Amino acid sequence: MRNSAFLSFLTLLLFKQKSKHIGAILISIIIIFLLSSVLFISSSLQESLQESLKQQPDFVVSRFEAGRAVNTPIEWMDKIIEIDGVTSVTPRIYGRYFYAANQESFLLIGVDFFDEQSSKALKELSSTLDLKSFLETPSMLVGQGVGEFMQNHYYRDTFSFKLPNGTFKKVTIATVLPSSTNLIANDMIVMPIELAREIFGLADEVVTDIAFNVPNDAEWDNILAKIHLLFYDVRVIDKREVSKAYRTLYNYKGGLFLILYLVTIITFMLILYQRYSMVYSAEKREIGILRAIGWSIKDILKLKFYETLIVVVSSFVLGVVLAYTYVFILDAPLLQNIFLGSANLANSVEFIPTVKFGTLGSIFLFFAVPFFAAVLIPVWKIAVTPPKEAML
Amino acid sequence: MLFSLLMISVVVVGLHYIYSFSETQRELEYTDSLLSLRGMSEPSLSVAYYESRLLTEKHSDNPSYPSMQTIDKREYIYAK
Repeated sequence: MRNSAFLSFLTLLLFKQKSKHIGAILISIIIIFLLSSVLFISSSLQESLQESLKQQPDFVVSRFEAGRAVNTPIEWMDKIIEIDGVTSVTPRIYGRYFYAANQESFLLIGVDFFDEQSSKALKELSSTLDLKSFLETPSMLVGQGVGEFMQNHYYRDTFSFKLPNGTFKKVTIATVLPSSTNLIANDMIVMPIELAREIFGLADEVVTDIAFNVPNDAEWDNILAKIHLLFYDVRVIDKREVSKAYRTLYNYKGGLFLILYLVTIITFMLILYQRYSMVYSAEKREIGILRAIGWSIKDILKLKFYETLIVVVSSFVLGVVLAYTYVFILDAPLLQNIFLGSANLANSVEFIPTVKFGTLGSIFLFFAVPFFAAVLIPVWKIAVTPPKEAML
Repeated sequence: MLFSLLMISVVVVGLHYIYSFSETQRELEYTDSLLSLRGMSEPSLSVAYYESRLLTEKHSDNPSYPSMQTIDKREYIYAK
């Protein structure tokens, strides 16, 4: 059989059965779109968080009491700093501030702005910020979500924090952090460490936790053992633990995503069923006619293979392109709430384009193999029966 | 026509991917400065006040409904 004749017949067949193919393509596009969107969002978040992990301290030490974290004595710092190989021991004060009226919360972080690195980072974040006036009056930097919340609640320039002793502390909103930091800073408030201590009502001798670095990776386990020998009521989180958590972030083991995959598989099953039921009507007769005019089984399988290939490739490309547009250009409205939540302040994250070709290949195989099987197996079954019988 | 549509869409997406790379670098600089300031890489999850917000935080119960088992969004996110 000449190729040009074969191709023109294939094209004619595709156009003749347009409505059937458009239906299959539309269903496939929706499946590919949903699956790719979920994977694009999760891989983008994974990449961004793995990147952010570089700035995370190697170890975080906090005191544990009755299975929950409590304030850590600041004197622990002196003991930790004496361990050989430990650098940059930093006390940290942070926690959630609840705005009872709306039952919403902010993540409040105290930073030592007199530290050289912190003041440099602050200047990089906001070039317009006057560091001197920022430190002179009680001031804070707020994330985009907090900024919008305060504007909507008429806290234009200042916000009054309710302290544990019942008094109020008025703090000036110095600047709103750029929207590109929304993934990590949407509900965040950064303020001088002493101000954070006052708002949380923390005594001078305690902090939330203590962070430190160990530049030599080979010493990590040794340092971990030393910390556990120094303190018995301690919980140490090392960077490896956090990295592991981020690697498994939004993965298939997570209940929600397992459900999504199951939905996809069930949809494939339905397509399979549809194909099986359709093949016993018009398509069966068509294959019988082709066999009667002299087409071999191989030719019929080849025709159906190419027909399916066009449907599979077009739906895959269109599904992936639509998913890319939805996630990386439109920033995945609605779907991003599943990943980042929507119970607190509204968050709008700009996803950094991350396309893993291995994942796309897996989606293609996951989608194409059952599709081909659903078409070619029944076609082969009919093609091997005598044409007269097939046309009945 | 279908082939042209597919080609155009792939080219447009490819161009966007290349263009957004430089944009991404600028955004990452901001994020890096912020991270070096706060020293925590936690994602800003929009969770209810009775759910845990930080990886280090333990799950707490809803004080309004102490007998009800609360849903922890992080359990969906971080595979356990």
